[in-house]
Amino acid sequence: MEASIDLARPARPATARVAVWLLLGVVFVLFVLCLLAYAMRMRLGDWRALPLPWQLNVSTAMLILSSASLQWASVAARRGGRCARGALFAAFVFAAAFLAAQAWAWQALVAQGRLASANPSNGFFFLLTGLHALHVLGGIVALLLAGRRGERLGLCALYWHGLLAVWLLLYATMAWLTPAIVDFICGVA
Amino acid sequence: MHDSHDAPHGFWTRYVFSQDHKVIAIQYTVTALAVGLVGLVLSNLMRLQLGFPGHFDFIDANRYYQSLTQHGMIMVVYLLTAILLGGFGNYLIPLMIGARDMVFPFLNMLSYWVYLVAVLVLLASFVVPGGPTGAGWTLYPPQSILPGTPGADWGIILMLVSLLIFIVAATMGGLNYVTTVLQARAEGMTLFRLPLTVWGIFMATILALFAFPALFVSGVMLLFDKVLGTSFFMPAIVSMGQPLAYEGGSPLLFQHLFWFFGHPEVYIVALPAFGIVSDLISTHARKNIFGYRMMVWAIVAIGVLSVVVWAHHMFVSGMNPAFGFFFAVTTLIIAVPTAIKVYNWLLTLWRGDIHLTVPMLFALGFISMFAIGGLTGLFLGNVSVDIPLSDTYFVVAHFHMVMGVAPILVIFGGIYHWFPKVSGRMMNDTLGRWHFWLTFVGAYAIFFPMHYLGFLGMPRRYYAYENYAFIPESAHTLNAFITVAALVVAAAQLLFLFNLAWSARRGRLASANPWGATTLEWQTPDTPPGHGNWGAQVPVVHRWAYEFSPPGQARDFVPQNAPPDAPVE
Ligand code: HEM
Ligand SMILES: [Cu+2]
Repeated sequence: MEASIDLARPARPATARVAVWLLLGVVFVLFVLCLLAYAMRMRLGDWRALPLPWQLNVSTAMLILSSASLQWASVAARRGGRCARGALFAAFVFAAAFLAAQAWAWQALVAQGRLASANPSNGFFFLLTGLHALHVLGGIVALLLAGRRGERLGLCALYWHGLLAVWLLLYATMAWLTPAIVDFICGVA
Repeated sequence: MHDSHDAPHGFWTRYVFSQDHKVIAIQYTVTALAVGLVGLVLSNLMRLQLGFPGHFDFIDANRYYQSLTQHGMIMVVYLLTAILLGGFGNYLIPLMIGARDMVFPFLNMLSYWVYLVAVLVLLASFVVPGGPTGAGWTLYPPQSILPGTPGADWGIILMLVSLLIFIVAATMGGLNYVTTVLQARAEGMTLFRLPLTVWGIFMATILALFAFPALFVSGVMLLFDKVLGTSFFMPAIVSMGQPLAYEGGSPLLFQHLFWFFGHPEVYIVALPAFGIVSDLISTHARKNIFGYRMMVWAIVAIGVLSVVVWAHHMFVSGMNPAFGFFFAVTTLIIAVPTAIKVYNWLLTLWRGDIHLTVPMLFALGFISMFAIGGLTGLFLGNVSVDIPLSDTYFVVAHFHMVMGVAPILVIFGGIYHWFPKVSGRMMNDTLGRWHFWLTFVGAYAIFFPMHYLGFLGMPRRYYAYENYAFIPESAHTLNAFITVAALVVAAAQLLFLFNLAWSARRGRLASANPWGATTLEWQTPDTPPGHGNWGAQVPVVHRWAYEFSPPGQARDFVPQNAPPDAPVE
């Protein structure tokens, strides 16, 4: 029987899109749970707020640029435009720059002797940035495998935007959440 | 990635690094059964100590706690979760929905290999210095990472790493299963025509996708506490006369996170079992399932509620009474859809043309075990009764019957049921019956008396009970009896393993649809199904999965893909 016909056909784009949304849901839950733990831990007596390293601003900018470039690349590739390559290359470079800036922030903290064990807020900093960086790294691998096909780039871009949103959430929480706010939310004010 | 348009040819791509969901399902199943065997042996070690204390020097207190922990973890995660989702899910989802494979075959293959790594890391903890962790399967800090607990150096690290790897594997698989059900159903296979097996596995997978992250987070944080010296969970502690560097953390935080996984986990195991058992009962009683839509909604409701109930485990940790009441109520509410399912099974059986095949025996065994174990659970869901019985053998008996033995019975039933499709041969019936009766009666003999031990106040997680005045002599006799029963049950599993191995090569040849089932997996052109499952044409579905004994038909079932106007045979 020579009848494997549509078997080897790669998954339909719509199918892959469902999977990426699902994956983003799982990733989102993962980080929200981390932040839940963060909020609960923060209310205990020994918490000291961590002055966030300024390098995070650099990394945030890099991630935004990477997300935007990838979006551009995917749109351009779908239209068959010529600038897709350049935009894709830029997305890679900015993503790598993001990771480098995160590593720089780590290095700055370590240089100040603020290791993970110094205070739970430091521990969470390494935990959250580390887990997030792993997800970015996974995305880069996926992007390397994706080639230059428009719909695949679109999926990668979707994942990228998701990770950007997660990062902004993490950053905002680490920068602005205080025990007083948590108490307020829990109604213990 | 999957470029070739033909079935793979070489041995390696066909049987080892295969992307075919059927091969991956077998790999998952065999691996899970193998590691489950380790869990079974560990339970027998514990029983030897409990039944005949002092007779077996090689089981010291540390070994006991290590066996306890590894037994619990292996059974819940590496056996039940893996075999139900990775084994049954992988085999049945594409075949039952009329797909040629999972939508991401490569990811599917990866999921298995990552699972295998998780299992190997887990087993490695048995040979590292200090042995595996003995902190109890809940791995509660602080003691799980403190000296004095067996395996607090290497064992706990390997345990946590193995769990993290397992979660990665489960997520890869889970994304695949859910997307496949949503996107790859054959023409005509609406959601309300799906067999309940698929519904159960589908819902359980969604639960797994969103509950395992909680275990992941608690695992990573505990690993940080252990390896990097953070104090997420660790309070200031003096250990063996030395103050440790930890301060200020909260073990309760771990418990919250852990049970955010632990509670849904019960249903991650239960829902596939519910689904499978519904299909076994309907097929072997030649009757449509009673209240199909109600069954589907019950599965969905249980899935949603089970996330809400997580904190009912916190009763003992002392929580805000208002919350305690809330969770007690939800625990009772979750009993409603569960009870509906039990009634519907019974009503399906009522006046059915019951064929007492081996799969049917196991399905009936499940209902009995689950209903009786579930009733005792109502005692535990009630706040006022929970306190004196919690942490006694009453609890051990309850959860073993409901979420230990009951799903295992379904798994056996499922294997006997689908083996003819998987291998093209029938399993031996006589051996199957022996296996059923020994396991079923034996399991009652093990776990029923434990309720009584619980009422006597016998605490769980104790290595030795000799010096407790309140435990009467009769309890020790009972313990010896339970141990003997446990050894018999364990030995009976050899019958099963022999039957599997022997029947795979020598069993009677099976026809394509030996049970007269309606679902698509029995309508494949080849048995076992070939690469791509369906030959030239994927099936088109015309009806639900439970068209049994329709009036005016010669055969007592109509397959889901039989055309509506097919001439009556
Ligand atoms: C014949 C089969 C089995 C026997 C004889 C058995 C026996 C035992 C025993 C003696 C304990 C320890 C009680 C204690 O000291 O507190 C235990 C604990 C446990 N068992 Fe089983 N078991 C069996 C099957 C299963 C299965 C199929 C599961 C799957 C869910 C399971 C899950 C557990 C869990 C989660 C614990 C608790 C571990 C802990 O407290 O950390 N067991 N079992
Ligand atoms: Cu629970």
